[in-house]
Amino acid sequence: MGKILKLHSMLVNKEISAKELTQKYLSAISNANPLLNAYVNITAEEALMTADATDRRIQGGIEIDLIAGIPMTLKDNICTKGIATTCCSKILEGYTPIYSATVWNKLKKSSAVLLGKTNMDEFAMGCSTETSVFGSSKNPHNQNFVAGGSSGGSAAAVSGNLAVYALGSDTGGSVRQPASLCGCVGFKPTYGAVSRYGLIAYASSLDQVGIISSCVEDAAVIFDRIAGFDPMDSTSKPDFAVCSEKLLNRDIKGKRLGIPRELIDRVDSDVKDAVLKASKDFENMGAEVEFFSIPQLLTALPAYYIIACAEASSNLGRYDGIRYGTKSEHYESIHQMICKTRSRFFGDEVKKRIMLGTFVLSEGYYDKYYTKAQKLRGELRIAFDRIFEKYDVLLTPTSPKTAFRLGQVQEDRVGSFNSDLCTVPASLAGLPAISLPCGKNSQGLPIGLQLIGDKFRDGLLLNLANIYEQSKGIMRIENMGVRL
Amino acid sequence: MICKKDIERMATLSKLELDPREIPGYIEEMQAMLEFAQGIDADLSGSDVPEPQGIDWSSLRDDTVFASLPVEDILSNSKDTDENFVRLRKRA
Repeated sequence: MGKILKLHSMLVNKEISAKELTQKYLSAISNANPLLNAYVNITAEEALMTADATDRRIQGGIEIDLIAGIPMTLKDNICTKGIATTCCSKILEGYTPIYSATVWNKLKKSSAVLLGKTNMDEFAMGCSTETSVFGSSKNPHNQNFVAGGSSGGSAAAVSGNLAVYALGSDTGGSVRQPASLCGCVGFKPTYGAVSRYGLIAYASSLDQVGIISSCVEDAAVIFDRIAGFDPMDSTSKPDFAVCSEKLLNRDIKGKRLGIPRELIDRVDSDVKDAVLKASKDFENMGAEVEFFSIPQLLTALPAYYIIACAEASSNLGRYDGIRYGTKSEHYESIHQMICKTRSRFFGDEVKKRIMLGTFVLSEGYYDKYYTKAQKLRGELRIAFDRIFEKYDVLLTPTSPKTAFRLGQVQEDRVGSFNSDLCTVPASLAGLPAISLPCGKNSQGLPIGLQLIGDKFRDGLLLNLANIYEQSKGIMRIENMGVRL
Repeated sequence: MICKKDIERMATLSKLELDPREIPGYIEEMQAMLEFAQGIDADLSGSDVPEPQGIDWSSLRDDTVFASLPVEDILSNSKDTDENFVRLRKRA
């Protein structure tokens, strides 16, 4: 049984009240957050108010939704009306959104209890949360290691039992990679299945709200509640029906799984061994597994960085210090004020990515970099369409390595781009993908397995992931946070 | 090879001011990032995937029109406002 269903049952059977449950989590956060740095803003008052309201409904015999009264968290780039949203950047210090993201409106309507906002790499640019203005999150499995990124705070909160589930954002793997490094489930739905309205943009053609949870069932429960058409998002799919929860336990016998050689041969040996062992487990459960090749996977990573940085250079143009956020106080002209504000309050990594994006879009380089990258993206999509005529789901590692030591990324920032090797192909093609634990390395650090599905076949993906998880059990940390 | 002039040009286009002492570090990092980006030139000659076609604009749906947010709400995050406008001093 998933955590959400278990807690729901405890709430409606009055074994615990929503207020008591929320207080347990708030108390666990005050104990463990100084260690993990998962939360950057704790919304205790809002959480207790929602919990109280849920308790009143239960006492009054009114039926509550499955997620009502369940404590959760949001990444700090998801807009929350009246609650500071900073993208963990100095430039958005003091910014309080005047509207909420559609995903948060949907969860709030179901009385989800928001414990706070979680740490992330500045504007989601990074793979370790070390570019956050609030400092990095730590991995609950070993605090000398990073929690991954950019949704590292969300993954650390879920893995460290400081939230039941979290919403993050995934542009090139920012939900899946931290979930893999922290030993939890990270699900990026199909692009267009979940509204991006109110998600602060990094690279709009790639950004997608995703779910981090301790098990696949919880991810499906939340997906069913946040997915669906939203007129506020022009890329939202109008006719997408969601009922993934009902599909979770279908037999996977005869399902065809493909393993791309271009990815499996480029990861650390402990990761490769664990993923190949997982493929055997799938075979033992009746699935058919084969290796295949897509040469386009070799160019996916550089193409991704070109496209993402190009879109970022445009999206982050809005931060000028005039309408919101921090502003430089000493200037001679408006243009100088904008330049000084951006230079002073954007972090190094963000400035470099904006400059790279500006470069690849500039005269003389546009065709060489940006046009070529878009062409490769198109070819990758076509290659995936062909592959999904043959296979139901693709199986890969999530991250080429397990969690790295704190500070290691700073020594080789460009080298750290390789951390996204296995996750960016699904992002470029807009495909659904899920990371789930498949073992640990010799240091006790989690290894993640990634399943990639065809567009809008999110239900099948969750089904396969759930069956695998049931055979292996859920990875848990027992000595931290709220134990149930 | 990226040079100082390239970095200064990119910074200007990006509306960023770089301290001259930062520029050597930026040259090194931007050079490494561009070398990484050159990976798009990898040889894919063995692949038989056809060239992608352009976007089918007819598949995009019409815009949905909504009322704007209230002006006072929109101005609430600006530090300096005057009636319905954001106010900026011409000189500090």
